[in-house]
Amino acid sequence: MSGKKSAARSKRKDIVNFEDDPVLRWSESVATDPKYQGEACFDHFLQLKNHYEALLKRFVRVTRISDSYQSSLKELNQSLTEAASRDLLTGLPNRRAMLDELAEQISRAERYGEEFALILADIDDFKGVNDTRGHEAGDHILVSVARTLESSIRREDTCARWGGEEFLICLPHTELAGARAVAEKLLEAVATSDTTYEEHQISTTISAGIAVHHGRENLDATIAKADDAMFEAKHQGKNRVYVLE
Amino acid sequence: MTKLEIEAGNSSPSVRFDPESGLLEIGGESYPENSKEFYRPLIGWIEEFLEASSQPVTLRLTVTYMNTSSTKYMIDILDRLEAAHDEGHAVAVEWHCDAENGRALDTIEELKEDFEMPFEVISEWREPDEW
Repeated sequence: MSGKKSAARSKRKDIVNFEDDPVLRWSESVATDPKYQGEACFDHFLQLKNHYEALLKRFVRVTRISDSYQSSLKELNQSLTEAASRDLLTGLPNRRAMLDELAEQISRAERYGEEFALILADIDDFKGVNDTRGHEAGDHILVSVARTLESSIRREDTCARWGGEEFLICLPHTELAGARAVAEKLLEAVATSDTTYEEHQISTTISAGIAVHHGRENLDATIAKADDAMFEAKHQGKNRVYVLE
Repeated sequence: MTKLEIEAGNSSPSVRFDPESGLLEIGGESYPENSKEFYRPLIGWIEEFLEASSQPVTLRLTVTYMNTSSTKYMIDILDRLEAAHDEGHAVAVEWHCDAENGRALDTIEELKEDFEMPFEVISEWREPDEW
Protein backbone atom coordinates (compact mmCIF):
# COMPACT_ATOMS: atom_id res chain seq x y z
CA MET A 1 0.00 0.00 0.00
CA SER A 2 1.37 3.42 -0.85
CA GLY A 3 2.31 5.81 1.92
CA LYS A 4 -0.17 8.34 0.64
CA LYS A 5 -3.03 5.90 0.81
CA SER A 6 -2.28 4.74 4.31
CA ALA A 7 -1.97 8.32 5.50
CA ALA A 8 -5.39 9.05 4.06
CA ARG A 9 -6.76 5.97 5.79
CA SER A 10 -5.35 6.78 9.18
CA LYS A 11 -6.93 10.22 8.98
CA ARG A 12 -10.35 8.65 8.69
CA LYS A 13 -11.92 8.13 12.03
CA ASP A 14 -13.55 5.02 13.35
CA ILE A 15 -12.31 2.69 10.70
CA VAL A 16 -11.00 -0.81 11.26
CA ASN A 17 -7.43 -1.62 10.29
CA PHE A 18 -6.53 -3.38 7.07
CA GLU A 19 -2.76 -2.94 7.16
CA ASP A 20 -2.07 -6.44 8.37
CA ASP A 21 -4.37 -8.01 5.83
CA PRO A 22 -2.24 -10.48 3.80
CA VAL A 23 -4.33 -10.04 0.66
CA LEU A 24 -3.70 -6.33 0.60
CA ARG A 25 0.00 -6.98 1.15
CA TRP A 26 0.14 -9.31 -1.83
CA SER A 27 -2.24 -7.50 -4.06
CA GLU A 28 0.23 -5.23 -5.77
CA SER A 29 2.83 -7.92 -6.40
CA VAL A 30 0.28 -10.49 -7.54
CA ALA A 31 -0.38 -8.61 -10.75
CA THR A 32 3.25 -8.27 -11.80
CA ASP A 33 5.39 -10.89 -10.06
CA PRO A 34 6.16 -13.87 -12.41
CA LYS A 35 5.85 -16.30 -9.52
CA TYR A 36 2.13 -15.57 -9.39
CA GLN A 37 1.59 -16.06 -13.11
CA GLY A 38 0.40 -19.22 -14.96
CA GLU A 39 -0.04 -22.47 -12.99
CA ALA A 40 1.25 -20.92 -9.77
CA CYS A 41 -1.83 -18.77 -9.74
CA PHE A 42 -4.06 -21.66 -8.62
CA ASP A 43 -2.41 -21.96 -5.22
CA HIS A 44 -2.80 -18.32 -4.62
CA PHE A 45 -6.32 -18.38 -5.88
CA LEU A 46 -7.17 -21.03 -3.28
CA GLN A 47 -5.47 -19.06 -0.54
CA LEU A 48 -7.36 -16.01 -1.64
CA LYS A 49 -10.63 -17.90 -1.63
CA ASN A 50 -10.00 -19.24 1.90
CA HIS A 51 -9.06 -15.83 3.06
CA TYR A 52 -12.17 -14.37 1.49
CA GLU A 53 -14.36 -17.01 3.13
CA ALA A 54 -12.82 -16.34 6.53
CA LEU A 55 -13.40 -12.63 6.06
CA LEU A 56 -17.01 -13.19 5.10
CA LYS A 57 -17.54 -15.34 8.17
CA ARG A 58 -15.96 -12.64 10.31
CA PHE A 59 -18.15 -10.02 8.71
CA VAL A 60 -21.31 -12.00 9.47
CA ARG A 61 -20.25 -12.52 13.10
CA VAL A 62 -19.43 -8.89 13.68
CA THR A 63 -22.65 -7.74 12.07
CA ARG A 64 -24.85 -10.09 14.07
CA ILE A 65 -23.27 -9.23 17.39
CA SER A 66 -23.37 -5.56 16.60
CA ASP A 67 -27.01 -5.78 15.52
CA SER A 68 -27.95 -7.52 18.74
CA TYR A 69 -26.39 -4.76 20.87
CA GLN A 70 -28.00 -2.09 18.75
CA SER A 71 -31.44 -3.67 18.94
CA SER A 72 -31.27 -3.78 22.72
CA LEU A 73 -30.33 -0.11 22.73
CA LYS A 74 -33.30 0.61 20.51
CA GLU A 75 -35.62 -1.26 22.88
CA LEU A 76 -34.24 0.65 25.85
CA ASN A 77 -34.75 3.88 23.96
CA GLN A 78 -38.34 2.98 23.21
CA SER A 79 -39.12 2.09 26.80
CA LEU A 80 -37.56 5.38 27.98
CA THR A 81 -39.65 7.35 25.49
CA GLU A 82 -42.69 5.43 26.64
CA ALA A 83 -41.86 6.07 30.32
CA ALA A 84 -41.28 9.77 29.68
CA SER A 85 -44.73 10.20 28.16
CA ARG A 86 -46.77 8.35 30.80
CA ASP A 87 -48.16 9.47 34.11
CA LEU A 88 -46.61 7.17 36.69
CA LEU A 89 -49.71 6.73 38.86
CA THR A 90 -52.49 6.34 36.32
CA GLY A 91 -50.55 5.14 33.29
CA LEU A 92 -52.34 7.76 31.17
CA PRO A 93 -50.38 10.00 28.79
CA ASN A 94 -48.89 12.84 30.86
CA ARG A 95 -49.05 16.57 30.25
CA ARG A 96 -46.01 16.48 28.00
CA ALA A 97 -47.48 13.71 25.80
CA MET A 98 -50.74 15.66 25.59
CA LEU A 99 -48.86 18.78 24.48
CA ASP A 100 -47.34 16.70 21.66
CA GLU A 101 -50.78 15.43 20.70
CA LEU A 102 -52.19 18.97 20.78
CA ALA A 103 -49.35 20.25 18.59
CA GLU A 104 -50.32 17.63 16.03
CA GLN A 105 -54.01 18.53 16.25
CA ILE A 106 -53.16 22.21 15.82
CA SER A 107 -51.15 21.61 12.69
CA ARG A 108 -54.06 19.58 11.26
CA ALA A 109 -56.51 22.27 12.30
CA GLU A 110 -54.40 24.92 10.57
CA ARG A 111 -53.74 22.92 7.45
CA TYR A 112 -57.21 21.53 6.81
CA GLY A 113 -59.30 24.13 8.63
CA GLU A 114 -60.50 21.40 10.97
CA GLU A 115 -61.61 21.81 14.54
CA PHE A 116 -61.02 19.76 17.65
CA ALA A 117 -62.58 19.88 21.08
CA LEU A 118 -61.06 19.82 24.55
CA ILE A 119 -62.77 18.57 27.67
CA LEU A 120 -61.13 19.55 30.94
CA ALA A 121 -62.46 17.28 33.67
CA ASP A 122 -61.73 17.75 37.36
CA ILE A 123 -62.66 15.37 40.16
CA ASP A 124 -65.18 16.98 42.51
CA ASP A 125 -64.25 17.40 46.18
CA PHE A 126 -61.01 15.53 45.69
CA LYS A 127 -59.24 17.40 48.47
CA GLY A 128 -61.91 16.07 50.85
CA VAL A 129 -61.04 12.48 49.92
CA ASN A 130 -57.36 13.07 50.59
CA ASP A 131 -58.10 14.85 53.88
CA THR A 132 -60.59 12.36 55.29
CA ARG A 133 -59.46 9.05 53.78
CA GLY A 134 -55.78 9.69 53.19
CA HIS A 135 -53.58 10.00 50.12
CA GLU A 136 -53.74 6.33 49.29
CA ALA A 137 -57.52 6.61 48.95
CA GLY A 138 -56.96 9.71 46.79
CA ASP A 139 -54.56 7.79 44.55
CA HIS A 140 -57.09 4.97 44.31
CA ILE A 141 -59.76 7.42 43.12
CA LEU A 142 -57.38 8.98 40.59
CA VAL A 143 -56.57 5.60 39.10
CA SER A 144 -60.21 4.55 39.10
CA VAL A 145 -61.36 7.74 37.34
CA ALA A 146 -58.51 7.43 34.86
CA ARG A 147 -59.62 3.90 33.96
CA THR A 148 -63.25 4.99 33.59
CA LEU A 149 -62.40 7.97 31.37
CA GLU A 150 -60.00 5.94 29.29
CA SER A 151 -62.57 3.23 28.62
CA SER A 152 -65.36 5.72 27.87
CA ILE A 153 -63.66 7.83 25.18
CA ARG A 154 -63.56 6.98 21.50
CA ARG A 155 -60.59 5.29 19.93
CA GLU A 156 -59.34 8.49 18.27
CA ASP A 157 -59.59 10.58 21.47
CA THR A 158 -56.74 11.08 23.93
CA CYS A 159 -57.17 11.35 27.68
CA ALA A 160 -54.22 12.67 29.67
CA ARG A 161 -53.57 13.42 33.31
CA TRP A 162 -53.20 17.15 33.03
CA GLY A 163 -52.57 18.13 36.66
CA GLY A 164 -53.33 16.93 40.20
CA GLU A 165 -56.93 15.75 39.79
CA GLU A 166 -57.44 17.23 36.34
CA PHE A 167 -57.78 15.27 33.12
CA LEU A 168 -57.65 16.78 29.66
CA ILE A 169 -59.39 14.96 26.84
CA CYS A 170 -58.68 15.86 23.23
CA LEU A 171 -61.38 15.00 20.67
CA PRO A 172 -60.17 15.31 17.06
CA HIS A 173 -62.64 16.43 14.33
CA THR A 174 -65.27 17.18 16.92
CA GLU A 175 -67.61 20.14 17.13
CA LEU A 176 -69.40 21.39 20.23
CA ALA A 177 -72.45 19.11 20.13
CA GLY A 178 -70.29 16.02 19.75
CA ALA A 179 -67.97 17.11 22.57
CA ARG A 180 -70.94 17.78 24.82
CA ALA A 181 -72.27 14.27 24.18
CA VAL A 182 -68.89 12.74 25.03
CA ALA A 183 -68.58 14.86 28.18
CA GLU A 184 -72.07 13.88 29.38
CA LYS A 185 -71.15 10.25 28.81
CA LEU A 186 -67.93 10.66 30.83
CA LEU A 187 -69.79 12.28 33.72
CA GLU A 188 -72.32 9.48 33.79
CA ALA A 189 -69.61 6.81 33.58
CA VAL A 190 -67.64 8.28 36.51
CA ALA A 191 -70.72 8.88 38.67
CA THR A 192 -71.89 5.29 38.25
CA SER A 193 -68.45 3.63 38.50
CA ASP A 194 -67.44 1.63 41.53
CA THR A 195 -65.02 3.72 43.59
CA THR A 196 -65.03 1.66 46.76
CA TYR A 197 -61.83 1.94 48.77
CA GLU A 198 -61.21 -0.36 51.74
CA GLU A 199 -64.94 -1.06 51.99
CA HIS A 200 -65.82 2.64 51.97
CA GLN A 201 -67.99 3.76 49.10
CA ILE A 202 -66.43 7.07 48.07
CA SER A 203 -68.92 8.97 45.97
CA THR A 204 -67.00 10.31 42.98
CA THR A 205 -68.09 12.77 40.31
CA ILE A 206 -66.37 15.10 37.88
CA SER A 207 -67.05 18.56 36.53
CA ALA A 208 -66.18 19.27 32.93
CA GLY A 209 -65.56 22.34 30.82
CA ILE A 210 -65.59 22.21 27.03
CA ALA A 211 -63.86 24.41 24.46
CA VAL A 212 -63.61 23.95 20.71
CA HIS A 213 -60.42 24.96 18.92
CA HIS A 214 -60.83 26.35 15.40
CA GLY A 215 -58.20 26.89 12.72
CA ARG A 216 -55.55 29.38 13.81
CA GLU A 217 -56.75 30.14 17.31
CA ASN A 218 -54.30 30.23 20.18
CA LEU A 219 -54.04 26.92 22.05
CA ASP A 220 -53.47 28.51 25.48
CA ALA A 221 -56.63 30.53 24.96
CA THR A 222 -58.61 27.38 24.13
CA ILE A 223 -57.27 25.56 27.19
CA ALA A 224 -58.03 28.60 29.36
CA LYS A 225 -61.57 28.62 27.98
CA ALA A 226 -62.05 24.96 28.90
CA ASP A 227 -60.59 25.72 32.33
CA ASP A 228 -62.94 28.66 32.91
CA ALA A 229 -65.89 26.53 31.77
CA MET A 230 -64.87 23.76 34.18
CA PHE A 231 -64.76 26.25 37.09
CA GLU A 232 -68.18 27.50 36.09
CA ALA A 233 -69.44 23.89 36.18
CA LYS A 234 -68.07 23.61 39.74
CA HIS A 235 -69.62 26.93 40.64
CA GLN A 236 -73.01 25.80 39.40
CA GLY A 237 -73.02 22.79 41.68
CA LYS A 238 -70.47 20.26 40.27
CA ASN A 239 -71.11 16.97 38.44
CA ARG A 240 -72.05 18.89 35.32
CA VAL A 241 -70.78 20.03 31.94
CA TYR A 242 -70.42 23.68 31.10
CA VAL A 243 -69.58 25.55 27.90
CA LEU A 244 -68.67 29.24 27.85
CA GLU A 245 -70.65 31.06 25.16
CA MET B 1 5.11 -6.02 32.31
CA THR B 2 3.06 -3.27 33.82
CA LYS B 3 -0.64 -3.14 34.47
CA LEU B 4 -2.79 -1.55 31.81
CA GLU B 5 -5.54 0.51 33.38
CA ILE B 6 -7.84 2.86 31.50
CA GLU B 7 -10.77 4.59 33.16
CA ALA B 8 -14.07 4.43 31.29
CA GLY B 9 -14.50 7.49 29.07
CA ASN B 10 -17.55 9.07 27.57
CA SER B 11 -17.69 6.50 24.82
CA SER B 12 -14.88 4.12 25.69
CA PRO B 13 -14.91 1.15 28.07
CA SER B 14 -12.87 0.69 31.23
CA VAL B 15 -9.84 -1.55 30.83
CA ARG B 16 -8.00 -3.43 33.56
CA PHE B 17 -5.26 -5.78 32.39
CA ASP B 18 -3.32 -7.28 35.29
CA PRO B 19 -0.18 -9.25 34.40
CA GLU B 20 0.10 -10.61 37.97
CA SER B 21 -3.26 -12.37 38.01
CA GLY B 22 -3.64 -12.76 34.25
CA LEU B 23 -7.11 -11.20 34.48
CA LEU B 24 -7.99 -8.98 31.52
CA GLU B 25 -11.18 -6.98 32.00
CA ILE B 26 -13.03 -4.76 29.57
CA GLY B 27 -16.32 -3.29 30.76
CA GLY B 28 -18.90 -0.62 30.04
CA GLU B 29 -19.85 1.00 26.78
CA SER B 30 -17.62 0.96 23.73
CA TYR B 31 -18.22 3.29 20.83
CA PRO B 32 -15.00 5.31 20.69
CA GLU B 33 -14.62 7.88 17.95
CA ASN B 34 -11.57 6.04 16.73
CA SER B 35 -11.77 2.42 17.80
CA LYS B 36 -8.50 1.53 16.10
CA GLU B 37 -6.66 4.08 18.22
CA PHE B 38 -8.35 2.70 21.32
CA TYR B 39 -8.02 -1.04 20.70
CA ARG B 40 -4.62 -1.27 18.99
CA PRO B 41 -2.67 -0.69 22.24
CA LEU B 42 -4.87 -3.25 24.01
CA ILE B 43 -4.11 -5.87 21.40
CA GLY B 44 -0.42 -4.90 21.53
CA TRP B 45 -0.40 -5.36 25.32
CA ILE B 46 -2.07 -8.76 25.04
CA GLU B 47 0.37 -9.96 22.36
CA GLU B 48 3.33 -8.84 24.41
CA PHE B 49 1.93 -10.45 27.55
CA LEU B 50 1.23 -13.78 25.84
CA GLU B 51 4.76 -13.71 24.48
CA ALA B 52 6.41 -12.88 27.81
CA SER B 53 4.40 -14.89 30.31
CA SER B 54 2.96 -18.36 30.67
CA GLN B 55 0.53 -17.13 33.35
CA PRO B 56 -3.02 -18.44 32.68
CA VAL B 57 -5.18 -15.73 31.16
CA THR B 58 -8.84 -14.92 31.75
CA LEU B 59 -10.57 -12.38 29.57
CA ARG B 60 -13.67 -11.00 31.27
CA LEU B 61 -15.94 -8.91 29.08
CA THR B 62 -18.70 -6.96 30.79
CA VAL B 63 -19.46 -4.70 27.87
CA THR B 64 -23.00 -3.37 27.89
CA TYR B 65 -22.96 -1.73 24.51
CA MET B 66 -20.52 -1.73 21.64
CA ASN B 67 -20.55 -0.43 18.11
CA THR B 68 -19.58 -2.40 15.06
CA SER B 69 -15.88 -1.52 14.92
CA SER B 70 -15.48 -2.29 18.64
CA THR B 71 -17.08 -5.68 17.98
CA LYS B 72 -14.52 -6.28 15.26
CA TYR B 73 -11.67 -5.60 17.71
CA MET B 74 -13.28 -7.77 20.40
CA ILE B 75 -13.17 -10.65 17.95
CA ASP B 76 -9.57 -9.77 17.05
CA ILE B 77 -8.73 -10.12 20.75
CA LEU B 78 -10.54 -13.46 20.92
CA ASP B 79 -8.58 -14.64 17.88
CA ARG B 80 -5.27 -13.75 19.58
CA LEU B 81 -6.33 -15.70 22.67
CA GLU B 82 -7.49 -18.65 20.57
CA ALA B 83 -4.08 -18.73 18.87
CA ALA B 84 -2.40 -18.75 22.30
CA HIS B 85 -4.72 -21.55 23.38
CA ASP B 86 -3.69 -23.53 20.28
CA GLU B 87 -0.08 -23.16 21.42
CA GLY B 88 -0.87 -24.58 24.84
CA HIS B 89 -1.40 -21.36 26.80
CA ALA B 90 -4.10 -21.63 29.49
CA VAL B 91 -6.80 -19.23 28.32
CA ALA B 92 -10.40 -18.65 29.35
CA VAL B 93 -13.06 -16.21 28.22
CA GLU B 94 -16.07 -14.95 30.18
CA TRP B 95 -18.53 -12.88 28.18
CA HIS B 96 -21.14 -11.30 30.43
CA CYS B 97 -24.47 -10.33 28.85
CA ASP B 98 -27.58 -8.61 30.08
CA ALA B 99 -30.08 -11.40 30.76
CA GLU B 100 -32.79 -9.26 29.19
CA ASN B 101 -30.96 -9.01 25.91
CA GLY B 102 -31.86 -12.43 24.56
CA ARG B 103 -30.63 -11.61 21.10
CA ALA B 104 -27.12 -10.73 22.29
CA LEU B 105 -27.03 -13.90 24.40
CA ASP B 106 -27.91 -15.98 21.35
CA THR B 107 -25.33 -14.36 19.10
CA ILE B 108 -22.55 -14.70 21.71
CA GLU B 109 -23.51 -18.34 22.25
CA GLU B 110 -23.17 -18.81 18.50
CA LEU B 111 -19.81 -17.02 18.46
CA LYS B 112 -18.57 -19.31 21.23
CA GLU B 113 -19.00 -22.29 18.90
CA ASP B 114 -16.25 -20.88 16.67
CA PHE B 115 -13.63 -21.24 19.40
CA GLU B 116 -11.89 -24.20 20.98
CA MET B 117 -10.73 -22.36 24.11
CA PRO B 118 -12.87 -22.39 27.29
CA PHE B 119 -15.57 -19.79 26.63
CA GLU B 120 -18.35 -19.03 29.10
CA VAL B 121 -21.38 -16.91 28.28
CA ILE B 122 -22.75 -15.50 31.51
CA SER B 123 -26.23 -14.07 31.61
CA GLU B 124 -26.77 -11.52 34.36
CA TRP B 125 -29.70 -9.55 35.72
CA ARG B 126 -28.69 -6.03 36.45
CA GLU B 127 -30.40 -2.78 37.20
CA PRO B 128 -30.23 -0.46 34.18
CA ASP B 129 -27.87 1.98 35.98
CA GLU B 130 -25.40 -0.80 36.75
CA TRP B 131 -24.88 -1.48 33.08
